Amino acid sequence: MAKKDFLKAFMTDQGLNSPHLNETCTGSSDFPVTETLKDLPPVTFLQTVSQTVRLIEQKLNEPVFKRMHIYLQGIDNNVCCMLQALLPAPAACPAPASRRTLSPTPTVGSFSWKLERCKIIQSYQRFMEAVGKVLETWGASPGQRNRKRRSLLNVLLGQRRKVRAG
Amino acid sequence: MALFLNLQTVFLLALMHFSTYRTGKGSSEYLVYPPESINVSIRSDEQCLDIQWTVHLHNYTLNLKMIFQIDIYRSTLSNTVENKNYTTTLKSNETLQWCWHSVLPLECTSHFVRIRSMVDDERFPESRIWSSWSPPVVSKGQESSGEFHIFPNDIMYAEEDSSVTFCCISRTDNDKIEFFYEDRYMQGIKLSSRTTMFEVKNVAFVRRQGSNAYCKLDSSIDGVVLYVGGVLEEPKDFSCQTRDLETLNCTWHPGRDTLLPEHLPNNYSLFEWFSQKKVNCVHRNWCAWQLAPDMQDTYNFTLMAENKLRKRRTSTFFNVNQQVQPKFVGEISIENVDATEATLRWQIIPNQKNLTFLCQIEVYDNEKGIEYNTSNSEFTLSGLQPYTAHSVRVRCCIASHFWKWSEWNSKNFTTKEDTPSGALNIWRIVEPVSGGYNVKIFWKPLPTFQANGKILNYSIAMETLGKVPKVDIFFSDSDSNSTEKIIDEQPYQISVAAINSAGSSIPSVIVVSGNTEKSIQNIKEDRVNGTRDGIYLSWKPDSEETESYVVDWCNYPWDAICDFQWQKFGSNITSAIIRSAAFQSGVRYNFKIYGLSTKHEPYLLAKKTGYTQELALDCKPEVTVDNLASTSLTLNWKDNCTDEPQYGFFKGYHIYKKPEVEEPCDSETEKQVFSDNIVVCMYTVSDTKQKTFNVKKLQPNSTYSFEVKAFTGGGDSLAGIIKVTTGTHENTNLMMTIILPMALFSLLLIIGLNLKIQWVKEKCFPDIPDPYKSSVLSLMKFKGNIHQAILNTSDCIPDAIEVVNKPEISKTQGLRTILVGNEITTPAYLYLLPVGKDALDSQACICFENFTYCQAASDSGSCSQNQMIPTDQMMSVESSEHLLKVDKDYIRPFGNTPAGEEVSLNYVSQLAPTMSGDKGNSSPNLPEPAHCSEYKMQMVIPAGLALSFPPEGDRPISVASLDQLEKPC
Repeated sequence: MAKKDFLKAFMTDQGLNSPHLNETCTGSSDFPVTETLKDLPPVTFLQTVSQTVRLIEQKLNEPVFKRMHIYLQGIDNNVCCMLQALLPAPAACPAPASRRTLSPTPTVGSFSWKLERCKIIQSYQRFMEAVGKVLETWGASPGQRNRKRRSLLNVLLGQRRKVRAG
Repeated sequence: MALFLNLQTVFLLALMHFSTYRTGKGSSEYLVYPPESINVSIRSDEQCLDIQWTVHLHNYTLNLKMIFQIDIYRSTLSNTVENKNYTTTLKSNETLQWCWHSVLPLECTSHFVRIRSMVDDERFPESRIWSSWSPPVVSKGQESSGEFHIFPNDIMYAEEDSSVTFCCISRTDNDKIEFFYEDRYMQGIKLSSRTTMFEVKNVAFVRRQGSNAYCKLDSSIDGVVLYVGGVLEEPKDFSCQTRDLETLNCTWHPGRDTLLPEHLPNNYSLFEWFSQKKVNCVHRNWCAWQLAPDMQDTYNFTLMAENKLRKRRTSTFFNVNQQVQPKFVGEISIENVDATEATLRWQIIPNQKNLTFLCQIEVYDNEKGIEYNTSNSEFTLSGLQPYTAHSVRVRCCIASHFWKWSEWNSKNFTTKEDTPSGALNIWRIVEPVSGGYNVKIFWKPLPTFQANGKILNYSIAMETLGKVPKVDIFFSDSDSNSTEKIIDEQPYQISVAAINSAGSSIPSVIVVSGNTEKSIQNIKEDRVNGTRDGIYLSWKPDSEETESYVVDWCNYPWDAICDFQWQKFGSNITSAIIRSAAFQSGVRYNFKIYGLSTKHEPYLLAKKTGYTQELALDCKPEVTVDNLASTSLTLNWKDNCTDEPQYGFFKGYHIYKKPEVEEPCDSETEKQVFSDNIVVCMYTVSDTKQKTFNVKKLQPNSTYSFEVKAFTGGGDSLAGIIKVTTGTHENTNLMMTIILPMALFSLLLIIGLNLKIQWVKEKCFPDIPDPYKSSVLSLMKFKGNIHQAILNTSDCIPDAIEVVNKPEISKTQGLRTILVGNEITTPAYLYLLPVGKDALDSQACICFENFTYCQAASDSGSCSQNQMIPTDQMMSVESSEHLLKVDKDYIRPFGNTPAGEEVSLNYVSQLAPTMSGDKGNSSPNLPEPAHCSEYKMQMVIPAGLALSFPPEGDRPISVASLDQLEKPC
């Protein structure tokens, strides 16, 4: 699934796909950016991904985002599976940080609700782009021609062996 | 009560006296209660300015009727937007309240409210004076908040086609604010330096997620989502009913979808006025209500439908006992089923309150349905068909007040067997065999309604009717429909009956006798015409003893198992159309028609044969041509066409004549126009044995195509085709052999005749010489003017005419002119023929010699002596000029003139051929007058010396005119 599909679909559904409102959707994001993520150790990185995805799930926990919610749960499950290969449960998939208290939710269907949800989806997509860039750097050894086909789990397992060996 | 009211009025009047409000300095006293504690607030969701106030009242002013005038204005009094008279009856400690709905969002600008009051009570008419206005109370707008906003904010609702007003408030004065509705820029109206109003008219539904309206100030955007929905319709067909008197089910038709979002549904609720209970309905078109049957029978329900934009309501009032649709408990039961009867039982609710029901029962067998009604919960069906499957269904309603039928409750059952009713339909075939007859007895199975059960077998009893009584009984299987038996010469009575488990049917009887079959040979078979429906048969009615008629035939006559069929008719029927699903086109069916006596003895009446539809024969004649002539020929053909029963009745041949060049059909033929517009002439040969046909009246030297086809009632067979070209006409040769020689002969004859005529003409009527062309003229050329050679009559006046044949002339009667001349030596004769017939008849010939031109006479001087003496007065009158005007004068030398007398030249004018002896007329020996039937007009030109010839080229002048000469005649 293309990563921008959710944003485009939401904006089309809500009538936000106009030049003025497009700009409004592209606000600043509270989620970690590429520069922050790439310096994180793999486990921390994956935990950050998991926590961020869960936070987004909480914010988009409304019927209109049902499909997206399932999609996010799938990502979270995958990340947790990888984490559990590295760490013993339940420490593998920690709950979202409580420090991030959710702001008062605007009335569903209101203009501010539309803009806020638009911003969240936009932030999510930026975050996932950053995650993708970081994952691309993993296991990029010069001798590996077919690295794209190498599963993320293998990379992580290789990382774990390095950690234990070190 | 009345006393109490009077006391109250008196009491109020007394109080009024003590509690009048003295206004100003006036002495009059009246009641004035100005509004107090005015409070104004905004209810944003309804865009309503909520105004509340109180009036300080004494207890004794309860129920005082008052009017409050409420002014609402923006900024200044001149900008009043509402002036409302609010009328109410005051109550104790009541806060008065009124909500003003504003088109412009109330946050957009400040609104000022002031109120004044007036007592409007009939009891105090003098107090109808307005109080002073209250101080204005302001509802502050957001225009001074210093924040950028749009109002209404976040969410608002509107119905389709309504107008919606927005306002945008800027942070500072005169900021440039843009407003967009669904990305459409819209112009606004400036309400103040910071507030701009925008109106969107006739809003339409765009999407369930609402239409976006927003204000843009630089990069800031504040917006509202406008949800546009259809107008909430009033619920229709609202009604309630119960099935069990415990639960009431109310239904309605909600109308069209308002298309509002799912989180803003239309809510429906039921309110019952007597019990004051309310139920919120889960569904948009029905709602359940728990009844209290022992407490309440009458209900007054109001159904309320509402959403964010509108409220609708509708009501119904009813007695619940009259709106009951009963329902069955379980299935109906069927008991005591026998051959013709069965009992039904059922249970139905509600069974409270001793309600009576009316139940409808419908019973169906295979063929029909019967309806019964009952008010009981059981019913016995009777008169049912034995051994028959039945379907029964029951429904009920409340008898006292019909509301609705219950659903149908159905069940099937089968009645028991009974003895077969009626008698079998039997018939027979009798075939002679050695020593007797082979009898085949046929019967038709009883129909279900007569079999009354499963037929086990058939009993056949054969009883002799002869001197020795004998009965033979045997049985046939249930699935058989015939049996066969050989009998002797004596007649037998055969009885057949059907047997089931309940008994036997009435036996059917027929008498079999060999005599019947003997009569078959004596009856001629007739042909009958079929139709698509069947084959029509008719027969002559027989004696009064005939009980019925029977027609029998085979459905498959060519097959060994021919599927023998028969049909019986009443004694009053003498015709029928025999129908069978087995009938096919091109199959000849043979029918025998019998009469059946009262003694059950059949006798043959007629034999018929025919087709439902004939087919064309499957054969093809081979055609040859004989005796080909120019206008006729003979067609011969050979074929294998026969009168076979597989096709149709062979009726003869059709001969189609197709000329290459279209020509009309004669009377012996029938004109046929084919589908491709080809016209042919058709001969019909009715004799199937005739294999030759003479075709006449053909055109010579023409090409014809002949097709010979055998035909039946079903059409023509394949065609034998031959193409023939007729010869040339026979008369042509005849003409060539007869007419041509005749023509040659005629031509030769004509030529011969012509030659003969020429000869005769030459002989009898030689050409009259033209004096102008005479050779004499050439001789005269040298003499001078040729005109002088032919003299004009004026030049020479005749002086004498000599009549030569005097005795004859004298004897001639009727001759009017007699010319007398002197005697001359060599006379030249000029004959005058008489005009009259008598003269010719008399064969008189008058010859006169004109000596006028007789040079010889002249020369001799005797001319002067010649005299012409008219014997007739008339003629005598004629001048000599007349004689000189003869049209044609002919000059001819007298060939017979003696050589010695060459001086004399005679010119003879002739009208008739001269006789052979004329040549010698010049001689003194003149022929007999009797031979002179013509005259000669002669002009004699003397070759004498004295005659002077005219110059050459001049026309000679006639010396005598025949006409002139004739006239006297």
